[in-house]
Amino acid sequence: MRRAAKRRDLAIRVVSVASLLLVWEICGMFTPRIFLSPFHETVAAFWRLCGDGTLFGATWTSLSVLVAGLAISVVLGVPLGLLMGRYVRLNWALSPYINGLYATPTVAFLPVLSLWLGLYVAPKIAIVILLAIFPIIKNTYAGVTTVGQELLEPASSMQASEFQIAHNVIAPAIVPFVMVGLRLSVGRGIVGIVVGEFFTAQTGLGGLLIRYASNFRTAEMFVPIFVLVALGYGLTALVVVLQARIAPWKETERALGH
Amino acid sequence: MTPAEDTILHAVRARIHRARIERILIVAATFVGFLLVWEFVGHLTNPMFFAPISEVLIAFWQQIVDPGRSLFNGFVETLAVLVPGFVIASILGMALGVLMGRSNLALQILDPYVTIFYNMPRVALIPMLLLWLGVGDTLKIVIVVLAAIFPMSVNVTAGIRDLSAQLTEPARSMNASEAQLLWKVILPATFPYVMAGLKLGLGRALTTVIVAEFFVSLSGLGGILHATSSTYQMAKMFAPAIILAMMGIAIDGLLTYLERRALRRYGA
Repeated sequence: MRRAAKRRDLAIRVVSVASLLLVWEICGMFTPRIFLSPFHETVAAFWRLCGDGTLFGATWTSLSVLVAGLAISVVLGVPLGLLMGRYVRLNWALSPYINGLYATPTVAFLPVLSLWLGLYVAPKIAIVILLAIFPIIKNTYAGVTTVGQELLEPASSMQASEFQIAHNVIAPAIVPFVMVGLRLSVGRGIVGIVVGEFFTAQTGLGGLLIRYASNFRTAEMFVPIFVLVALGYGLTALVVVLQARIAPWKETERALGH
Repeated sequence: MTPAEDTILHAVRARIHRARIERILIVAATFVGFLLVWEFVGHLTNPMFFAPISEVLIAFWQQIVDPGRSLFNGFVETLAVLVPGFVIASILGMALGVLMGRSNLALQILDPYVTIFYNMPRVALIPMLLLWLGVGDTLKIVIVVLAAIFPMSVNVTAGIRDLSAQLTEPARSMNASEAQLLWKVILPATFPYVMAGLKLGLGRALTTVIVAEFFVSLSGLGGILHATSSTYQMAKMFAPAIILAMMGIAIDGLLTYLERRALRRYGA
């Protein structure tokens, strides 16, 4: 019974997607090419761009900047969140700026970043960090502050050192929170990389997208869009898998903030 | 209350009071330090790339009293896109969320698209929409709707799916109609999810509208930002950036406040 219902749901999804693609194909046949191309031309463009290496190169460029930005966000954000969680005065001093920047649309700083850092890799990494670091800081902080006394007291009563407490009690407890932060950061980081590639040197998937759109090559234009969707999906799934691997002991954490 | 308890209570109160004062002092000291560093660095660097806070504030004031009112007009232009787009997105997103939460058929049909749009970088749609809709306000409103609708619908759907079973059964057994069920039980119960959807949608809408204004580069705060930074007018450039930051913080704060009040009232 359940299996039959599942199979029916899947069938509805397949029909739904197939009919959209059909509508796309038919609309594409009757629309001027500069506005929309039939779906099969986008598929053909995908294979062509795969074949000549364009797509691989662009994806590699975008992905490496994104991963660099996310890695720096984790390396800076986790210790900062830890310190803010352990030292309340530091939290008082910094939290207005961190909360403020988290609520700020930080893409507004892109023009000034590109003035300071040029047009190539540096401003792109910087904008990814400005978008991605705050969920990590906030979630790490939340993780540290929710490590309850019921975990800390037994440890200190058994004469655990500060290092042992940090390593054996706090670290395992905050990993799920950091992973939630990272999951939010992936989506925000992809926005950062796309915007960075639009408005500084037009490289990577964002650059491809701009180039095709401004040349009215509508069949090719959809290829980087789909790759970006897949990238977002794949990286988020990767974080979820990592989370289940690294921290299988806590499934019910709550996402904080945006 | 015994005198001993009274003394303890008094001590605790005094300590809380001291902590509050210390917090205010720390926040104020950090802020002053931040401004001083900004001022100092601003005087050391090339004026093409940075400006001291004093000049930023003077330029801000000049732009406010400027008879051409370009900053004010930019602010109004951004709001004129953001507000209608956000309202449309919230209403449609809620409707979509309820539909997908209540009907399995709708869920299965629409979920593939909602998942894709929710997870994709919305800004990637701007070049395409630019082709279809031109550079006018329509483009910007559509992109704001696309940015804000799915966080709302995804949250409402999740809220309804999480809550329905335990809440709808008693109402149904008391012969509540579908409409009563929706208005009296389901929507109040999903309120926290609606607030989460509003907040997330708002952040995305703000980012997306700025990027759209960068593209079109003619209007709005994003347009001013783009125009002033590409002509190296550093002191002037910070004004729209500061306003955008304030907008984000203010609206986020307002939504958090409303959320907290409503939660207290409905006692979730």
